[in-house]
Amino acid sequence: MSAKILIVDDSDTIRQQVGITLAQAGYQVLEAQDGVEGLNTIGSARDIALVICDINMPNMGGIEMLTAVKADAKNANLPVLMLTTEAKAELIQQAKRIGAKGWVVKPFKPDQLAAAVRKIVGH
Amino acid sequence: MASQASLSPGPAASTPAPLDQEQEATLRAVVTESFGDLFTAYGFTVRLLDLTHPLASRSHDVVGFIGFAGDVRGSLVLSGPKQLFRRTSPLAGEAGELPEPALFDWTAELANQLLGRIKRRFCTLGRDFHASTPTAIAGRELSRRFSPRAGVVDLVFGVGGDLLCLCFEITPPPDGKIFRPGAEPIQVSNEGDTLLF
Repeated sequence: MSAKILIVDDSDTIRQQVGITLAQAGYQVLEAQDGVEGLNTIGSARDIALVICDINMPNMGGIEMLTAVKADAKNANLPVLMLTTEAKAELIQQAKRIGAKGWVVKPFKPDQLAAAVRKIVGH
Repeated sequence: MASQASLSPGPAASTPAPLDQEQEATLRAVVTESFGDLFTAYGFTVRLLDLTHPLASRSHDVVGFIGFAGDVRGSLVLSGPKQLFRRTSPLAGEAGELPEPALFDWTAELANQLLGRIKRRFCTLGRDFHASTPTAIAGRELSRRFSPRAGVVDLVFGVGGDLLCLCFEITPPPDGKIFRPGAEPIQVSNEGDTLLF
């Protein structure tokens, strides 16, 4: 059975673009449009293998969502990959300290994103 | 209801000093290069046109907006014809078709990605800001009024046979120095970089 990946981004275009890339790579895709919806989806869906998450989103941004995911013992090992236009080293280091698995600066290259996901998910 | 006195700007809200020529030139270069890089990355050839170009006043029908705040604050407005935004979308079909909600979303995302590129260049010059979330609107016969003011960069680009107008407006700090000579660059990654920890 293919691994399930949650994409959290307020842009429909980005969610669809990432979704197409991941579906072509053989993954199942779930979507959420902000951090609040992302946390709800993580709470209700089973067996999510990876979360791909934007930074600047309404309601709850990516850093807040990452912090909440890592603070919950049930999800502490859930890998989170940030996908954003933000590129500042200080912010990247902050996400790394909180527990992010990686950081991709938009616009992304589909083959590189798929390769990064394979490396994190393991298959 | 608030009194008039409470609405008047305090001493901290004094008019910022005008930008000197070097600051204006740097700002213009940052905005122009960021725009060119973004559209080139999506496979389009970009030409910078003069604001007096006869087509520069042509009306547009979709506009993307994003604001920013921090040490410097301002906004970015990107306007053009729907067909151009449709053609640049990674989700457009071969004939350039794209449903209206997807068009709005993509226009807002383009404004976001453009501001991201401008922010990256600002960081390399030692200046940072925080971006808001972007949005887009559509209308008929929308047109830009060009404002020759300090801190406003109005540009018109030819992109694949269509025209796009970009207005980047920034309120400089009180000393008028958006870019401080000798400022320590803020470390940033490049667009498309994939970092795994």
